[in-house]
Amino acid sequence: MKAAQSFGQYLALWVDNEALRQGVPEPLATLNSAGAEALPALIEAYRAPKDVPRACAADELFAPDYGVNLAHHDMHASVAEAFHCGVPNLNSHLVVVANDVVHVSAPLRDEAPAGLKVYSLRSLPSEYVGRAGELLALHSADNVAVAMNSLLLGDGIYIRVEPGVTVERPVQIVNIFHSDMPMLSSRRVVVDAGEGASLRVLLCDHSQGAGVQHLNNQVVQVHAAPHASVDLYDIEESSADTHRLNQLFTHQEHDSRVVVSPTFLHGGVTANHYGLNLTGDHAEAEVTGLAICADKQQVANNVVLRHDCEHSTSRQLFKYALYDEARGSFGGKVVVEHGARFTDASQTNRNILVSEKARMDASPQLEIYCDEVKASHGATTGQLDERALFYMQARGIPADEAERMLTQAFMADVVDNIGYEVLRQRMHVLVEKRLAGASASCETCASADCSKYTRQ
Amino acid sequence: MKDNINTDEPLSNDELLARATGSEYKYGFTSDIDTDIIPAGLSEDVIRLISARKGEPEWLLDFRLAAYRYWLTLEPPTWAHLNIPPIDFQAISYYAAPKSKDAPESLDEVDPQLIDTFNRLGIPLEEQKMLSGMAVDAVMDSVSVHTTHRERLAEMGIIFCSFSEAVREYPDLVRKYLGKVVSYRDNFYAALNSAVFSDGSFVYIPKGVRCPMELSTYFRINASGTGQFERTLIVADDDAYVSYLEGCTAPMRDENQLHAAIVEIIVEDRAEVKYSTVQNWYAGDAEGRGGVYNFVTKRGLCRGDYSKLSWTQVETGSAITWKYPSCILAGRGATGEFYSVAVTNNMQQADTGTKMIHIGSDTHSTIVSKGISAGHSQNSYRGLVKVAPGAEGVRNYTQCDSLLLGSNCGAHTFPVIEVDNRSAVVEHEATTSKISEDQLFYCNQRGIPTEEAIALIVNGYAKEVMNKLPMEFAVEARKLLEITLEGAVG
Repeated sequence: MKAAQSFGQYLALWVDNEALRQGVPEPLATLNSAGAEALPALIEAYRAPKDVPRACAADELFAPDYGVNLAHHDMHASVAEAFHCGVPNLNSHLVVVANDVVHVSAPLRDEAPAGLKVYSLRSLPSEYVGRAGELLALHSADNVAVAMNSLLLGDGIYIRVEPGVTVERPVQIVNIFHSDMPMLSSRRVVVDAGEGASLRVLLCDHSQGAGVQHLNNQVVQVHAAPHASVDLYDIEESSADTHRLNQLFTHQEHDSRVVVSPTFLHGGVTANHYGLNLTGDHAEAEVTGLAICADKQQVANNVVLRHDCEHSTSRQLFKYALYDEARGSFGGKVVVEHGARFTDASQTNRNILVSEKARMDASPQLEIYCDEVKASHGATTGQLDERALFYMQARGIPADEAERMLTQAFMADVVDNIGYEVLRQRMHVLVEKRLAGASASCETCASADCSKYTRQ
Repeated sequence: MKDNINTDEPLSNDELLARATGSEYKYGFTSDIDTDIIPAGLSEDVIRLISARKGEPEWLLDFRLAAYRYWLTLEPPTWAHLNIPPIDFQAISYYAAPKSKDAPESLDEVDPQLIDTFNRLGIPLEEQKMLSGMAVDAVMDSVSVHTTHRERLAEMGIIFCSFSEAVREYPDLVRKYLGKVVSYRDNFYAALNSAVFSDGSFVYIPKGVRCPMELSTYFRINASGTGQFERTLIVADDDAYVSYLEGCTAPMRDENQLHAAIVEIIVEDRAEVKYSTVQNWYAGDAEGRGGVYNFVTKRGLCRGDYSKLSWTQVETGSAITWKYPSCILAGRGATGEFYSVAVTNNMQQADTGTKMIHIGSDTHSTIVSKGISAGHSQNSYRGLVKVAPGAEGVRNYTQCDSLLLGSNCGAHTFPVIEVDNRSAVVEHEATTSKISEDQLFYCNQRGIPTEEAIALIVNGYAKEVMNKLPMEFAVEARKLLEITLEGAVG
């Protein structure tokens, strides 16, 4: 019942306002229609997942009556402009998404290095329309939230790296939310890495202003051709009013490598789903995430890692530190298909409950249909080592500082895993700041912190 | 069969695998006993008939009817990683009792064929087995046949009898505890069982009594087209101790038979209950025809402070197993343990595990689960460790390992951990791997044929759990493991 109401309201809005969405270019128009077509059946079949906190379930996230920018008004060009002005010396290829309107920065548009193409889906050169459409169609309706994204997507980002090209500077996508009224924004990123290409993508989520609730329904697709390498860092530092539903899908051909590294520093309700598919022999995937949650924040990370080839390797590492009344949830499933021989899969989830009322649910799962396999998982939930705390206090370190240092050390291996040196150093600082209770001010982070992620 | 192991020509993996499927089910015989079966089908009338046959009091009939009415509102659960063909609940006979004149007074009065059946099963009903000091309650199809050692136990105040007898003789006790741990509203199969259960065992250990012998029940489905719906209720009062063994077999039949049992255990202050199961229901043939559907709800309530409940299970049989022996650790310092070895071969499917619900402070639980899959089977561990907000100082350790023999089987792990108290320390570890080539090679090199080496390695792998079984059972369990896995490796 709830699902019908939650999702149905937006489908009805879309159907009723045909006039508003005139002139939608390809491949978006096809995608919109595919979403509309699939939704009724998906809504019908929707069952709220039992293994994530209720607040992180799609029907709950879509329940409020959000505004939708169907006419694709560019309400926030000013925000993007302000952002450009405020950030000199930016050493990344910058794309700013204001709510759901994509602004590819001028240097990237005009002077992108050879082999790197970054386009808004609305202004895609005709030679890429077919390819982008093909990739989008792969994830037009995987589940109800993806279908909602397909339906309401007004713009998105297509990143193409030509075969053999290594892009040195990362492509940074800054998502900024700014609105005076509750709003639903649909975002999509398609990364298309050609054979032997190499790329790093930074996704930063921010929101400006407080007190206005909004939902960011994002879908990220990563397509890695043979021998391609894609690193995707996803940093969330937004306001407590931010609700985020983020789904990432990867397709990996042989000898490709994909690293996904989500970091939750601040936000409201976040539900991340990672669907990784290793379909080519010798493919490698890594998902390492950390979440520092406080107040009433809720963070659910759900990974489904499917091995369907030989000699593939996957590694998952997720760490949570939960304060106050925060609630964390981790669901990890490794599926080793029949015939996926010589798979090596490991999965680790470690959590610290710092406060009385914090809560953690973990569900590390293995589904294995092949015998030539090495698969392991481990999950622990507990507290900081009391002896270590005592030891540090005995040497004159105040209790809260000792606690902070130990928590930082606990998180260190996740941060160390970040392959991009500049970001790694920046993340160590950010984690330290976050643990020290420095509140993430969204005003400053869009214009200041974010720049530091990439400042050389 | 063992002869050609050492022939010059080494067997291919396929041949070895094929051999496993050829290993015979040792208990696949039916006994030609007069059986009193009521017609297939389920309705309120059938439940009234069962109740009347057993001369039950009004309150129990009401309990059954309430359960039946609730069951009608339910759908069979589908969340397990199992492929369960639709079951026609109207095609099952819900009551099959071996015919006999009156309740037997001594072994002499029991139908000799029945005794023969149990002898073939190796159940210690007979005198020589009595020396082993076990008290046995044998349940065939649905009715409890005989309970040994009654008098000796009675002297100590221990009640160990069939469920029907308990209803007659200790109605207050039964009424007090029945359905208190597993309510008829618990799940589909628990509701079904509560409506139609025909017999089972009842154990009551009074305050401060340490049961001097192991109590044992043997279940056997004999009649065709019947289901077995037994109910076991164990109550250990303050400071009591009991070790309880349960074994199950069924004859070979083409059709699937349903077994939906309930086990309820209540453990009071400082009491300890050890519950061991060796489950060897008929698993169906190599193509997956026939076999028992084993859908069981087992749960213990450690409501006393410092109480302890330990589940040990060796699951080798059944076409489909759906079973999660659980502990509700409500008393302060209560301890729950779960040790399991689940072996699946051919087309068997098993979805088994445990729930440890920590409600009391300083409660501890240990889970050790070893899954072994071979052939085309699917073997899943599913578990829940839950720490309630008020439970301080909880400790859990979970280890679940899977071993894969052959490339067509599946091994899955679905643990869920919910921690709502920061003082808890919960650990989960799991590995899945294939049998070690190095170990096999080492054994082969020392002249141990592959098949024996596998048995050796698997037994070593499962040793941690086997060691928790009482002596008599451990021997049988080890043999079962070997039979089930005979040659099942590549």
